Amino acid sequence: MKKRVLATLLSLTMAAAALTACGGSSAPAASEAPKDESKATGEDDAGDAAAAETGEENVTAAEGDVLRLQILDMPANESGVITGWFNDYIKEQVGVELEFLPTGDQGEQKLQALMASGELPDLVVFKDDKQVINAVTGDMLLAYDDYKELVPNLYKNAATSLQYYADNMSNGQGKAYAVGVELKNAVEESGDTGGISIRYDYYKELGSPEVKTMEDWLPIIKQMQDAHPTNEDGQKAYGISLFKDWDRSYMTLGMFFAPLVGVNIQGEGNLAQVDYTNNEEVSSILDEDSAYMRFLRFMFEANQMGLVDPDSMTQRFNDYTQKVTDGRVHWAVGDWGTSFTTEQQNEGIGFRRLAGTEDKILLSPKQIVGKGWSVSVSKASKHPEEAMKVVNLLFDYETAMVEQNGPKGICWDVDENGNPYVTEEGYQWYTDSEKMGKGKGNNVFRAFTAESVNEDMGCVMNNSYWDKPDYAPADTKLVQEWKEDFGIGDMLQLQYQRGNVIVRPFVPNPTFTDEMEQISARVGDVIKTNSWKMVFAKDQAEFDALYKEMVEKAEGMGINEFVDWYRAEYEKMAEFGEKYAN
Amino acid sequence: MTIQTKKKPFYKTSGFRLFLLIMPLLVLVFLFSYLPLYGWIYALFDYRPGVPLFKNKFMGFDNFKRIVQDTYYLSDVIRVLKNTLGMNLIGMLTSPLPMLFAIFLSEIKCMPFKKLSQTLTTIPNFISWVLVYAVAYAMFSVNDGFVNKVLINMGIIDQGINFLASPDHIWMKMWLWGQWKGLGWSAIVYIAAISGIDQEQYEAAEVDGANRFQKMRYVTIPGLLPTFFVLLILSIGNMISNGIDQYFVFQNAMNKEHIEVLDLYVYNQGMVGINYSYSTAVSILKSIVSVTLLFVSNQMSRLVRDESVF
Amino acid sequence: MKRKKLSPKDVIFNIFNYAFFGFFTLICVLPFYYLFINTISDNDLVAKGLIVWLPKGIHFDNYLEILKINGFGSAVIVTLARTVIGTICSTVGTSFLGYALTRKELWLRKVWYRFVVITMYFNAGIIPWFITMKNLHLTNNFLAYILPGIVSPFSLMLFKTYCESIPDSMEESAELDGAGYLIRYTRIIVPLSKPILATLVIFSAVGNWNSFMDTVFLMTDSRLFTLQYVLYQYLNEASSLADMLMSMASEGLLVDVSKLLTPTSIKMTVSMVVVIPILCVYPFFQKYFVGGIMIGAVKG
Repeated sequence: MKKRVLATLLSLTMAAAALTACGGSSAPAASEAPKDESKATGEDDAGDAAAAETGEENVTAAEGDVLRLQILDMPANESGVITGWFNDYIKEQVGVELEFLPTGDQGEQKLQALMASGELPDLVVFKDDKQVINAVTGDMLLAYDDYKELVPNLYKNAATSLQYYADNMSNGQGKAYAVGVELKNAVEESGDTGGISIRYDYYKELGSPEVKTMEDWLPIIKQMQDAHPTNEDGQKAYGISLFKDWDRSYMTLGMFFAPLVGVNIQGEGNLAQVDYTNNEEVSSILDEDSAYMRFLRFMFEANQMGLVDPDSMTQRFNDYTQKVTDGRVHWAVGDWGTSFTTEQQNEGIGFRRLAGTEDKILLSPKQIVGKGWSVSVSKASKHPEEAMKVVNLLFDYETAMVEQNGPKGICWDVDENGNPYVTEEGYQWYTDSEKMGKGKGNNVFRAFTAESVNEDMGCVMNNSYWDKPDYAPADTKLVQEWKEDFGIGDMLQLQYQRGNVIVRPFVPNPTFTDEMEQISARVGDVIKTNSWKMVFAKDQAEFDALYKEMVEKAEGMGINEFVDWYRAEYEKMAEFGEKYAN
Repeated sequence: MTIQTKKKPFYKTSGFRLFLLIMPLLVLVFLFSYLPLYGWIYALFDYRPGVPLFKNKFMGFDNFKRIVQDTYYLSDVIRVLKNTLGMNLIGMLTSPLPMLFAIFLSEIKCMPFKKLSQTLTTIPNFISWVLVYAVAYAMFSVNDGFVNKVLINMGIIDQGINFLASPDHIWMKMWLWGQWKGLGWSAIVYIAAISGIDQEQYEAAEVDGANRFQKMRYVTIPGLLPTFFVLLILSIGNMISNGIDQYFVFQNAMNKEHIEVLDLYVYNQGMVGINYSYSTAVSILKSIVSVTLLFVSNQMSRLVRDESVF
Repeated sequence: MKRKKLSPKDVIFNIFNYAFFGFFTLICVLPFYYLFINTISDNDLVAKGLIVWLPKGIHFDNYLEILKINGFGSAVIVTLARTVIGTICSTVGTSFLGYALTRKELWLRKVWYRFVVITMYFNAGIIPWFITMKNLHLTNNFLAYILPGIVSPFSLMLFKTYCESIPDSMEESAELDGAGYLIRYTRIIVPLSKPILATLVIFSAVGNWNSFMDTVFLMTDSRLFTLQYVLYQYLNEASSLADMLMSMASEGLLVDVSKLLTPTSIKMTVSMVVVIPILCVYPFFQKYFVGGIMIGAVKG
């Protein structure tokens, strides 16, 4: 018995030692080392040893003939080698494969460590302009200016952004070391946005009461909940349910509430709001008449009426979306979980967007320099030219369309008039998560957002804005009803018709200094805690007391300092924005 | 006792030979635990990862001064320290539990049951706090919580109780979760120590006519005490740290006042993560306090028990 | 063992004792059982929170899905290798150091002991740690899994404490026979400290088995990825896949969400994959915990 265990251990040890030899720098590479099960079989051991000896962080392992580049993508939650149709596309176009360096929830630390060590992977997508400046200071990036002939698409489709990064993020060298991603070169004119989400079937049961402004929803939600206290399975249902997963410096759901009343709070860490219904006034989110306070009062009153799910404070986002999908929530600020199945929708069951007739809604402007996310090629890259080619490819308009709509020729194509259309097979793909999802990593980074326009073809990128062919799946009964009731295609069109759309002017987002971030965290801690307590306060008196305490503490910790800083910064950026907008 | 002859040169003494034997191990400790400490120098700069160290602004001890000077509400600091020390104190007062767990487990004579129990009670240790919370939510949420459903069905209550948002007895609740997760696992050390007690001692006690409780008291417990004190002193060194995961997943606006421990507070206040140098300064301070506590408690053990742990 | 008549006190004690351990074992297992049945039940029912006592719509897709992960096989081998080698090295290294530190004649004994113990309370931060590892050429190197774990201060204290309870007389006789330290360690200390060595093995093995942060930061070569890391990566992807499909759905595309693996059930499955092997191996070490040591018996 003992001997057998020992033998097993020994053999395992030996196998492992052989593995060590493969990756280790000290052990000589044993020529008879068993190949492990990964795809590495193509490589010979000499190559292994050589690669290991250099001890390089950026070993771009050659897999067969295909070169593999590593990408650290801060905004994305992706890791591993890109596979499926988008991988095929990149391979076909530039002959490389992309591999995400794992970040998980450690992205920030990983980037810091790599930056400190002085070597970044081939491609980096930054989430913050401060990081770009640090990387430029540390001389870790390549300038696109030095590779002009390899990146024509950048100069053609993202020239403003290049200029912006050359002017502001190059330590005065005047070269573009990064270029913005998620560029938005057009403002959308239609879409299922611009309102709250509501169980349209229940709303119609009440005879579609008129709503002028946000607060008018409350009595309606009350009636809906009274009529439908449970879902079909008999589980308790509520008018409103909330979650706290995304909270940073305040209840982040308030950030989604604000644009529906014409106010913008830029980012989950921001303590200031900009009121676009009132001369772009910058003020504290804690001011008596701020949109955030309006949100808190709204939720407080809803709770007084018994409309708020008592589990709101303890549930997770997953629990929340599941409740929405299960019909246990009747009204919501966002649309998470609101897509019901086709069968349900054909029975007229499900969510639609609605909005008060007097509330102005905000639309984000063209973001021609990007929203603070950018992509760079590392100086430590062994294959800078290929990396450049990849960036160039991703900034190609047609690539952007492939990324968003699936492979061209399969999912979509261009008709004789030069207009894009979705093919029959395309619709099958879209309903089949296997096929579309197999293109893992087709959200590498989007050079252009869904609403952007392919200027070469003069069409919007994403198929949801295209004309529908005959064979497109018919509208569900739910959608049909909505369209008939309002006599127009979708909510955003309706808002335009009502004249309730304000498109924000283009203002680059100010980057928080460390000091401001600190204030944001510290004040935010107080705001978060008190906000939730206010929503669930027993009565008006408790609500007021908590409000007073919150404001006092926040002021003591420097919220006014933050708001003043943001106001000055916003004005500076606004001027700046005008410069680049033209 | 080793007999040291004075004639032997120093490098030939057995003590030095033994040192040479363990030197490679000490070198490893140095390489992996001490070498990275050069990073503490970052606390003296305004360090931006990516920028070479000496191109960063030199700050002197400003980062440390800032920790003290920043606007905190004294009441908050006191509250947080109260939570930290309070919960750790409960933990310390109940630190004999794993020992008792091991002793009583060893009293079980039915082998399969004992083994099963021993194995299965370690399971919770392997479930991450995030998942523990998922289980807690499934059990205690107002609408779908299993416990509320049972209570309502039995007619004891007619409205669900919001267990998870309630600030009542939060220290005890956290302690209970902690024990559930860690008791079986922490007992392993004692189970091993019990097996290491010389059987002759039990036989001798039996000859003296000791019953099982007397054997526990006069043989088993004294045999476990050295281990117990080592662990106790280590935990005193950890007096100001509770870790963050458990409290982070359970915190919400209602229970925050009582659940916020130092580590969580430092995180909530944005003292870690935003500025690398400042975070480093915070962690240096924590290390210093911990090591001081460790030595003080060791000294105290020397005074009280006449025996120091290290 | 001779059978003695149990006193009433003993009987009461036994009843309570069995009841307590029965109860505690149950509450330790129930949540685990709950997680387990949730991993094999219809994902849709799971998400709705309808699985409480018995699995419904049993399927093993979640597990199959995990087996299908790219590089799963190689990750299992790497993890086994690191666990076995790492545990052996760590147990030997730590216990020998622990033994050496019990020897009063050791040069600067107290200094070295403190030198090791206080490292438990240090935290240098991720950047200097990473740069140190890089300078030691331990990035993309299997040894990075082994070397840092060889001396574990916590286990060291446990072992040393245990060792001190072994009577000096045992060693003295060997010393007089002229046996060196290595021989005394292997012939006397190791046989007498089997229970604590088993503990060290368990702690180190579990630590090695569960660790993945070193892979996140140090490894870019997929042949060196560990199982936990691959699972961690998979969890992140699963949630981003779900997010992506959700956003597609909100863009007006119809997606049958019920067919998708829900992140919660994936989290649960991953945690099963992590725990079950531990539960399978752990009982094999229990025999070292059962029954006491007969110190006299080792003497001969």
